[in-house]
Amino acid sequence: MKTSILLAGLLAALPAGVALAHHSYAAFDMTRSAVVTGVVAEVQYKNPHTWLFVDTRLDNGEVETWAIEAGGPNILMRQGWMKNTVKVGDRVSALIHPGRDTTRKAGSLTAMRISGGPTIGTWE
Amino acid sequence: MPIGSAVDRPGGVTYTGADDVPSADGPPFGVRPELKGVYLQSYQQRTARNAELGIEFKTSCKILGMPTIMLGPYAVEILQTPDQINWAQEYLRETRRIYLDGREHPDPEAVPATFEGYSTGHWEGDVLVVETSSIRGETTLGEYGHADDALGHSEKLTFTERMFINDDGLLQVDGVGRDPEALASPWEWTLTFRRAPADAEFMEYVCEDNNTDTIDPETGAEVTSIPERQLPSILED
Repeated sequence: MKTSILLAGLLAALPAGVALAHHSYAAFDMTRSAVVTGVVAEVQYKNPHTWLFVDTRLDNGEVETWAIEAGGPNILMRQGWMKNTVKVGDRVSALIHPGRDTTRKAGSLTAMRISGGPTIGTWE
Repeated sequence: MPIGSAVDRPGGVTYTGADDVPSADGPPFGVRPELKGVYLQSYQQRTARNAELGIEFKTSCKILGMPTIMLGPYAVEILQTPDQINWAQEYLRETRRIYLDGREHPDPEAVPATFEGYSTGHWEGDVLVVETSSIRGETTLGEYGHADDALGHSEKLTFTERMFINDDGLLQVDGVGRDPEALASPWEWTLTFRRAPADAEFMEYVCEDNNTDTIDPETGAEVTSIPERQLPSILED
């Protein structure tokens, strides 16, 4: 058989700019960043995007929930974020690009620090 | 001899499987095709509409087809037998099939075009030369999205690709797109791919599984929905 060509590949990052993806990130303001600190309430670890729900307690005692979109498992596993890396109850700080619709508490994840655990993505 | 995927490139993790240019530095494939006629008009209308909406392409889980499959952002798995090569892209679960058994391309009058087109190949020394035809008009040239009006190119579009291991040890694909109706000149591009670590595995990717992005049918705007929660708030008393 001829030389085996083969394979190649790629890896990907958390959203840092527009590139081929299944959506364009138009819902998020990619020019702004914000930090959400709270407790992970739910992790939907699925393609095409993982969603995290992070509960934060406001100064007035009320609980506010942020919905944060991240890459899917194909991206995250190759960055070391496995299915069991981020768990309900973990305290995290998430660096996000907030949604353009500021009435919704949502963002696109850039990087995340897990208390007592790893930092995922590049926090800068 | 399967192999699977995933490496990063010098200077950091890349977003694309191919060593394509960063979107801030240039168009997909590094060079724009010289479109003409109704195909140029379609491109201009599409990009102007997207600019109005603040997007670069419409959200979709539909496969990309040729040539954009070559820019798929996830792993590529290339399986090879003496008579056939399958070039699979994790992203959107697309697979190109390149037949090496000397068969002819199908009659375009009799057989409908497909997103990946019909590819045959032969060896010229250590270079695999791949010819592709019968590509559906929805696929675009040098864009990340589709042409909803099926005017991405004409049915006469063909690609010739020369695939080989270059002096840097990378898999290099030199592509030339030709279309007498849609291209004023041949569209030439080069992509390179890096071998994945030995333990890399090809992964499943089901875009429809948790897709929360849709297009507003009236405005064409992209809508990102927050998925429904399954668990209660953790801080509520």
